[in-house]
Amino acid sequence: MSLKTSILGGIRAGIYRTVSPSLGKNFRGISPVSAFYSTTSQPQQYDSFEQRNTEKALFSRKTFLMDYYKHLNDSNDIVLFVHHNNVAKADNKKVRSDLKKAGAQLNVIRNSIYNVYLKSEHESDPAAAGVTNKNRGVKHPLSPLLNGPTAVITIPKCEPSVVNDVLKVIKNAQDKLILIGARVESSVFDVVEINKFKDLPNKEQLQAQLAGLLTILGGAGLVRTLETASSVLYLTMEQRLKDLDPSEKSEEESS
Amino acid sequence: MITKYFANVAVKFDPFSAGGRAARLFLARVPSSAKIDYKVLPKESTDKPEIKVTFKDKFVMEADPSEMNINDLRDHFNTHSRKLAIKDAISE
Repeated sequence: MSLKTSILGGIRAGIYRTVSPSLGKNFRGISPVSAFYSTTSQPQQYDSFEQRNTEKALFSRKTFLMDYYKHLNDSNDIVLFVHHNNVAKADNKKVRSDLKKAGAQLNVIRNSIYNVYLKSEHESDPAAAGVTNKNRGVKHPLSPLLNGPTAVITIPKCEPSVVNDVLKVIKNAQDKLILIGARVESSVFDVVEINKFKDLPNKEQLQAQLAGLLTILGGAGLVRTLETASSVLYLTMEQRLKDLDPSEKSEEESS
Repeated sequence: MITKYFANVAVKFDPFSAGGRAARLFLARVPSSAKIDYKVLPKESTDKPEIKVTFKDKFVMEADPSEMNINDLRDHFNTHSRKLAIKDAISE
């Protein structure tokens, strides 16, 4: 028992540590939108993992799942919610391997625990004691999706092309997987919005397009505009110098 | 719910609205032997959510998941399933 506990503790401590400081920061860096459900507070540092004061027992599955859902949400930009229906073992294996090839991962979630996590999502530690009770009244926009058999497909980077591949896998699974909604960075998308999103170019391409547009069309004008402030300052100072010079000369003459 | 006599199931639902719950719980109870035809409605859609079941004797029944919970839906579709079950029992 003690060996099992220590191994589990090690794994969980590992997950918790990787989740809290580094990935949390990453996630916030990408989505600076201060929506009420975005992660804003700094994760609390514990002297040791064992000292963590959690709502449910520290080594319970509920605490583990809360930490795991936090990890999934913090380390992935896109979370697609799907309804799964009569997925047989062979189908399940195929879908999971196809999704892995596309660069995504499928997790069947426990609705109630995921909902509790969503409610206290803005906290540094959603599993901490008292947090669940504090956020009991919070209504999260994704909560209505947590009914019936639900799974999440997580995509680490905000890449519409990956979403496109994942949607193809879902389509191949026919009525076994039904896409019902998504969370992209900190906004909530419905099915139509996801279909629009998947055809967009990714961020790098958009930035390249913008840079290209600026250099070709308005490049020279933009450079001139940006230079105006400094050149005006230079001219003013020059003028001031010229104004000062004759007076100095005259002073010298008078003396 | 007696799902043995379902041939085709067509479901239209908005997962973000109140009706989504009943529709999804209903979908989860439909066996893989029935053909499922589904449509997920966007948030601001004028299309009404609907569940349409075609039984094996070509009888069609409809229901609105936004007005019924899963127990109401079960009772609703069981009325015809039970008739078919009785027919089956007699012919045996």
